[in-house]
Amino acid sequence: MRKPMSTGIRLHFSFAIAVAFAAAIAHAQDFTGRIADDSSGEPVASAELKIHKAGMRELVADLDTDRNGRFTGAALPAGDYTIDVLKPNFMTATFPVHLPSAALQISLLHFAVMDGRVTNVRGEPVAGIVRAPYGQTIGATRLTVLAKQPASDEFRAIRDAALDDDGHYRFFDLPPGQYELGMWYYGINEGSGMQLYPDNANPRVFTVAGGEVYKDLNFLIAPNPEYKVSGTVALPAPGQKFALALGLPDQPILPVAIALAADDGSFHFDKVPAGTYDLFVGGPTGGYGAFDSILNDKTEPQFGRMRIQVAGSDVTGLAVAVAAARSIGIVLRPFKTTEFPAACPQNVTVNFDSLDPWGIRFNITAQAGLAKEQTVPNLAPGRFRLSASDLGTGCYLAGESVVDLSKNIEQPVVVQVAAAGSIRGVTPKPGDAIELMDAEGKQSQLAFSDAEGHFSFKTLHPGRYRITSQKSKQTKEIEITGGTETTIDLGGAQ
Amino acid sequence: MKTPILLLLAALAATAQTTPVAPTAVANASISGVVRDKATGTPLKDYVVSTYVNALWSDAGITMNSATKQLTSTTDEHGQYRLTDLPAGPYHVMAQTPQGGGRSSMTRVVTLAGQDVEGIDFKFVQMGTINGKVLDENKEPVPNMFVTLVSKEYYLGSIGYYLKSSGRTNDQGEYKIAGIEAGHPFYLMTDFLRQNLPPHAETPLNPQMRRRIPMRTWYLSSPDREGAASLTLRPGEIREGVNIEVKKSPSYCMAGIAATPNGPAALRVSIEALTPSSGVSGSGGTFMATTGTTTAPDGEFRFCDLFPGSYRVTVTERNQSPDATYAITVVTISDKDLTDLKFPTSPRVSLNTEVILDGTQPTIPITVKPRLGLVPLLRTQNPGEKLNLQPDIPGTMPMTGLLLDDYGVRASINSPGLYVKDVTYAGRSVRFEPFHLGSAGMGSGLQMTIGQDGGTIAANVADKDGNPIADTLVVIMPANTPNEGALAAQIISGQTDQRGQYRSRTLAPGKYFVVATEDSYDMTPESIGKLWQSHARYQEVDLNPKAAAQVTLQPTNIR
Repeated sequence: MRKPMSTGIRLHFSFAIAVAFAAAIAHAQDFTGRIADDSSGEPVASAELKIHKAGMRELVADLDTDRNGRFTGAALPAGDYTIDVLKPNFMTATFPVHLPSAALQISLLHFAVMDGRVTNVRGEPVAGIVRAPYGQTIGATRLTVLAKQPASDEFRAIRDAALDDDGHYRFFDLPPGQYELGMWYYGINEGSGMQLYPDNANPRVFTVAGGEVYKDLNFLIAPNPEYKVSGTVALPAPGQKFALALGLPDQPILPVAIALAADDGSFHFDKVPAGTYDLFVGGPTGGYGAFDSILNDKTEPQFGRMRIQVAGSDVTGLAVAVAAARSIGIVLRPFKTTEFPAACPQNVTVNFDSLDPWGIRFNITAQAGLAKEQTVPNLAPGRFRLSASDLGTGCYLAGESVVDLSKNIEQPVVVQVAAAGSIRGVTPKPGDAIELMDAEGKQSQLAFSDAEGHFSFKTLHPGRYRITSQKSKQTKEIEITGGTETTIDLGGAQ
Repeated sequence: MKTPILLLLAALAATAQTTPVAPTAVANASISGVVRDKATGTPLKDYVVSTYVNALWSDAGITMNSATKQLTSTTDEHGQYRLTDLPAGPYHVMAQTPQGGGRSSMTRVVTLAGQDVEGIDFKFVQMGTINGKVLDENKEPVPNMFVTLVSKEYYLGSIGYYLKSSGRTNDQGEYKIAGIEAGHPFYLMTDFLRQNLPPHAETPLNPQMRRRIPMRTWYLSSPDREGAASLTLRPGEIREGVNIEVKKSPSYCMAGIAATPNGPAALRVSIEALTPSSGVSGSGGTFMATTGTTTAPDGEFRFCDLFPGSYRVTVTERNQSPDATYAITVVTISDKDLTDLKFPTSPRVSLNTEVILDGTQPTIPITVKPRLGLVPLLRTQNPGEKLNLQPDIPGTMPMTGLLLDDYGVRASINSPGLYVKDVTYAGRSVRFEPFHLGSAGMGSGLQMTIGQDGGTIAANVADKDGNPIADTLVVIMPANTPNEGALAAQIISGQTDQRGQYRSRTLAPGKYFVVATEDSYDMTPESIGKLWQSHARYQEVDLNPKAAAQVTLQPTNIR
């Protein structure tokens, strides 16, 4: 149901900060300036300026702006400094400066806001969280911001908020990017379900370049015919606690219903609209967080899943079998070559993030090594995304990163790594914004030149890129290869 | 977090019925009633009413076993609930708001004897809400500030400031705190809290080059709690525009080394402003997320953005093992940075406890065991800290894995005739007072004295025509308390059941003042002050050794 994204939309990150050196109105030794909102030009009061000197552990100065957006620092020794400008709900700006300097004019880019309410047909706010006695969450309305992933059409949940008592939600920390907005609800009086804004067939894509305020993104939960879904989990041992969840196969980010099986394994979901669902069951559980159950770490977990259809009547008498968790072997291998890249570690920590709405918090990491196959136990029969956090800047995870354990898969699972490239460059202008765009124009990143005009980009996938200097308006096309550093001069002749 | 008065009632009323009722042949019965709004009488839907069968209500609340089962009923659109198939015996029936989470609940006491009991109604006082903004001196909204509701109340013999619920400001500086008990004066305090600090703050070394930082500020705009304005909400009130202007202070730093007995190490160092701070009070406990860092193996830390005041610095080992060493130090910042601080951690300590039976040796050996426990007052229990004992009478038993820190005593016994007469630490009574472990030399222990000549006070509460009054508060106050703080620590109360009857737990012999009331009281100085003023005018009861005193009371206004 996901529509392919237009590749024509791209983000102008280079507006993230603009630093101008104003006419020399200040005394030579003073360090002064003014900070304004990039979109409105209004002064930004109570912004913090952190002034670093290379090689010093502490800041040389930590300043803030007054109600007119102005700052004044005591005299600092002449030399090169780096300044971070911080203000809540604005993108942090970092730039080099040589002191003494003329007064600085700094523009900050505001984060975007998404704001709205969720009501039922009577105009009443719906519940944000419904708890059982002693605190376990049994129902919720959760708003989720989905961000478009670089170089793909996938949208992934990056922010999650529950409603307040008035049915109101507010996201206010969205950096530039492309977003969708979704709502998942279950266990509330209005039933359960899932909606993208404004409707599931045509979700709106919000393009944030900076400072956008999207208000009144309201959802209405309309009544649907609702049915009960009930049955029994075949418990491995009586009295064990198993958690159940219903997920939409097309929108598996969050569950649309959760339930806990009773001591005899019986369970029921109320108020389920007609549709096709995946029923997930896992346990035994040993606790719960704000929304998810937590597996009991003293017992081997067991899982089960089945596809169910709810159409026009209650679904009763489901017999849900559970089976021992799966384990897989993983190994580390080079991507598309036989030689292992020197820049990659020979042992990496691999995180397994569940892509199915089990209603269970998984916390699975494993080591993948070049030498020996490692076994990863306790995995549910579902989809997991593999990621690695300790690859270093010269290495990246390549190839397929999703394993689907609901099917038979080839083992061991091969975690593939490849050498990344990098760019070291120079431009005539310090504080220049350098934008690097991949050949398809889908993904861009930004760097700022330092006081000598040097800049760099690291951890680049091999391929063609277009590199642009904002100040000198130079654009070049370059080819990046893995394991090498490409040097570029954006000041000289082409 | 529980509403203070409700929890207190539940805990104390629980002590009234401590003996399991012998199984009888009488039929199972039901309890039913209606949940309403106290002010308007409107029935309240979706409230969860529950109780437990096969459980023993005791001092600690409830003792469960494998046969214990919770029964629940949700109120319908007429506010009605019904709990069925209950064996004869005493029950505590709890009603909770649909939001649950213990934020708002009420308890009633019912004694079942084979007959259905109707009319066990609950009248909920609707909670209040406060919302407003946190602004700085530029009138700019300040995001990510914690706004905390603070109660000034008696606990362990003296008045303290205790954290209750809190809210956090959004990007527009707006905060909201819901579920606020009506009729209780509260203060509001705002803090800037960062959970994870770097081991070495990057704040400039030169204090002249630092910006001023937001400091702890009390509503309306006071840097100290003496200048704080109190807020008391009406039932269901939504108080808007409760704006706090945050004060700014010069920024100070503290720096030093944390070390284990084996030398500097990578340790967890956390810091919390005093007072108030996280900790327990008479109505439960509130713990904010801790602010701190993990040092490098050199143990070096530097915390900055500190305003003048006292801070509790805690050093713990990262492994959290049961014998991990620790350091707890109070550091005060006045008007300059503190450098070269040394926080060496110490091993855990043990505390010997002894239980003494007062009076002559009983003819039948005592098999019941008292409960003797310590509760850390300013933190949660550490792994390896063995704080709760059930020693023999007489007997000795050690508490192990303790820290040199502030503790309160929890002592109880659950048997006819027996009561806790006193608990002492190095000869000083700590039954109703906090103590600092280590303040009295390492050989000192805890001594618990059990009296065996205790009695009970039973009350029948009725109106002037003799009709029993259910769900009325019976308040028992020892006559010999020297001051308000002692009265607050020793006051006992419970609710009448549906027959208007209440029976206390075992009490020390002596003189008491007893009153029945349809009002409530809490631990605020205002409420305790009124009881202190008038307590000697209430019904006097001389409880003789081993006696079962009986009084008949008419409800009286105690406000």
